[in-house]
Amino acid sequence: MPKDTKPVKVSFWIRYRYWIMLGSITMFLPPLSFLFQFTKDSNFCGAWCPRMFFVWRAGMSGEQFFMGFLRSYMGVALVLGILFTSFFLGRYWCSHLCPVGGTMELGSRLVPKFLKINYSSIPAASFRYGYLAVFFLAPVFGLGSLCCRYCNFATIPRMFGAAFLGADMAFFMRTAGLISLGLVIVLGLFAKGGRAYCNLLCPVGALDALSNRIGLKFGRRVRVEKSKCNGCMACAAVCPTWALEESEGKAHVDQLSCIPCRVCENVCPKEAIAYEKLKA
Amino acid sequence: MKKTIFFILAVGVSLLGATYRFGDSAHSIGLIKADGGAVKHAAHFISGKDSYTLIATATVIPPYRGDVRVALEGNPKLEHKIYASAPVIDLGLRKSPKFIDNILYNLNPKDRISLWVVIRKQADADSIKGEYRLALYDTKTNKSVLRVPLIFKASKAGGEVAHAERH
Repeated sequence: MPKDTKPVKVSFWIRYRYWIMLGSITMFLPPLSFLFQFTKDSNFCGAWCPRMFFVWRAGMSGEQFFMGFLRSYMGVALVLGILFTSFFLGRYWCSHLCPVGGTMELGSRLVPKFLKINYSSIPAASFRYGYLAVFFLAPVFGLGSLCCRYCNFATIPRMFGAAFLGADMAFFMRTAGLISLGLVIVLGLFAKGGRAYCNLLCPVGALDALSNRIGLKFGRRVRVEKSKCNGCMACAAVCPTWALEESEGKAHVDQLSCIPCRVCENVCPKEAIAYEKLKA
Repeated sequence: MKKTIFFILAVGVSLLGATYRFGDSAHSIGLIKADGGAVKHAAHFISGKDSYTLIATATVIPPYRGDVRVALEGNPKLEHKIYASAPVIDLGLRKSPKFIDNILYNLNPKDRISLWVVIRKQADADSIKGEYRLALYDTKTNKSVLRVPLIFKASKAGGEVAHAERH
């Protein structure tokens, strides 16, 4: 080895990301649904629901709202765990552990490039928080609900289960189920990077991104060292959540969209991108 | 400006998604009790569709335990199939009810069940109208432990139906 070439040490979380995602899919989703079986469940609906408990509906009493937390106790624990870890470490749930996002990202890798849709011209954060506003407010005013309908956490497990179970197949035998499937295909499997659904329509991801943004000063994040960056934007080309944008000739990370998949870190020719704490 | 436009677009699309009901599926939430049970609200559907799906979830209220027969009742009879959510591979980590031939075996207090009822209109029949019910009976006593009303009505203008898929 030449004297001036230092061996490149690739982080465990980068090297084994796809394997971790695959492991999570196996643990959470059918046919095994291993983790759900500890609570007599078979999917994210019920005790594991991460989307419904924090939404107040018109006519709901305080006690009913509180009961929702008890009913979805595993979902509550999951969401609190996600928010806590994101605050300090970044959105590792989204990038490595979420079986829903993982399925869409891994699935999108099987789709030929020429069929991929590039959503990067959509300002993700604006769209996401418009969706989240309705997610919270529509039930409050009794206008309807987005909690169960078009739920990514309900759709993906049933895509796996439908091959085996009539109940999971029945999920898709109705208009709302077919639309949910369509969203997963168009915004997930056929999206460049496979993460448009996560980036635009996942309420858990939207809350997680807020935690990520608020904890920016305290925790580790994917950051660009401006002095090293040459503005080539090779990072932006590979980012699945189009979180990298050009600002004053340098790459800039939008912490409301970044998930620490750290693909950008690998492709940066100047080693200007690193997962680290904010430098003083 | 672009960000504002996309925010408004997202609000508009999401609002449409939250408020519009297709009328071919509904979710009912119930309590299974020895004295007849209770359901939060009836399941409403819009007449004129070829198939419907009812998602009936319920919790078993103590002290009830036993086996429960599930039936879709009403006239004329409807072509239907009932499925229950369950793990594909049951690892036996926790004892959960089994659903075989429309009977839920071994219900225990605090169990949660989820039934999917897929109803199809027969090709030569008129559209489905009127009231039906998904009834759950204790197999030993034949007493009802839960009744979920299903109401099939012609749509009002725009196809809105109260309660459908409301949780």
